[in-house]
Amino acid sequence: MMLSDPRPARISRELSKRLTIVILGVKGGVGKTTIALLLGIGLARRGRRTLLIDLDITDPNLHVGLGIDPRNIMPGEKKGIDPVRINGLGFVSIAPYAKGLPLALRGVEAVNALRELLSAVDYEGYDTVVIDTPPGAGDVVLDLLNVLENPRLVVVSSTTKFSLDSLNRLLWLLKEMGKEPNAVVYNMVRDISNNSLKDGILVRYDDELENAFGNLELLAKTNAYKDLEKLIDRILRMDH
Amino acid sequence: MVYNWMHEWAIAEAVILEVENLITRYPSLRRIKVVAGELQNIDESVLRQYLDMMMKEVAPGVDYEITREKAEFKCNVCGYRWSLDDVDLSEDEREAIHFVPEAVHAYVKCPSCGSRDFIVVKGRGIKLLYEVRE
Ligand SMILES: [Zn+2]
Repeated sequence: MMLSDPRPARISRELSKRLTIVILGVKGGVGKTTIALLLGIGLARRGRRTLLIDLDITDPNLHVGLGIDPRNIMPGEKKGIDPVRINGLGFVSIAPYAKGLPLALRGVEAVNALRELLSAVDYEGYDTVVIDTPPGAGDVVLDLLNVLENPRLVVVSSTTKFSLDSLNRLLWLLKEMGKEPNAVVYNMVRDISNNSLKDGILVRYDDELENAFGNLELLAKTNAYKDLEKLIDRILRMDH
Repeated sequence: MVYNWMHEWAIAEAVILEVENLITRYPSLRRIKVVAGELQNIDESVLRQYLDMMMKEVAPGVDYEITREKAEFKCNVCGYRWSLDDVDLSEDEREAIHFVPEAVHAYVKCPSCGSRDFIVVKGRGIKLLYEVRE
């Protein structure tokens, strides 16, 4: 008999009905998770029923930004995994299932975990899904880009030479795949008047963020959030 | 009909959606076999109830059965193989693994060398096997 995996069928059906935004980071440490968090908060504040999904399978930390201890929460069940609710945002992550313990997963298993989480969620009640991913373009990111039909892509980079070098390669790859990003966010920018980055959305370096994690009201008052409103506007325009 | 809310519904729904894809691709689809891995330990009755309800609608005449597969692990460091019977898990840990089988990596180490770097060789979650008429 032939073998087939039923999960992509449900993932693609559920997510193609919704505004799905995938946040890609050129490498670790560029603030991809922060951008995913601020974008999720922003979309919810504009009235979108927003679900945040952490797909950084082996090293999830979106829950830190949301101020949740994954050892103390367990999503419920409806017609699928019922996302945890935090101040009006839905949240799904592998973290509650691993209880903060290390997860040593080889590529195939990380892909399995990604497909399991995405296919098992009960998306009812959400019209917008923001997905945080592992850094770079490894197995999980490639599989995600394969399974999703029409995601909006946001690429996050910092302005260091290393990041910009990686950014070039990632943009090249996405172009080849026919999946050019809808926006490039330059994060942690120290010199906001930097003209060489005019094609992207510039988000200032912000000391306040670290203290605001866990407090969504406070996060929405940060300079980084204000800079990101341009991205929120752009994404909402794309949905029309 | 009264339903128990369970995440098995999403799994069953994925199976039916994939059967719909298969029958579009292979109109002579003959039978399917849903293999349920021991590690995920899904409630088979929910899956069966959903398939009984939907198969005659989306794939009339296609036979189907649900079978189980024992879980087996293999250490990537020392090569040792073991089964779920060799492992002690709490109720909470079993629950977590039920939702995401890969969570097993948080709670289980190789019984021989203590490594967390192992693979689930079989019996993980749901697989769909299918046969097309010649
Ligand atoms: Zn071993």
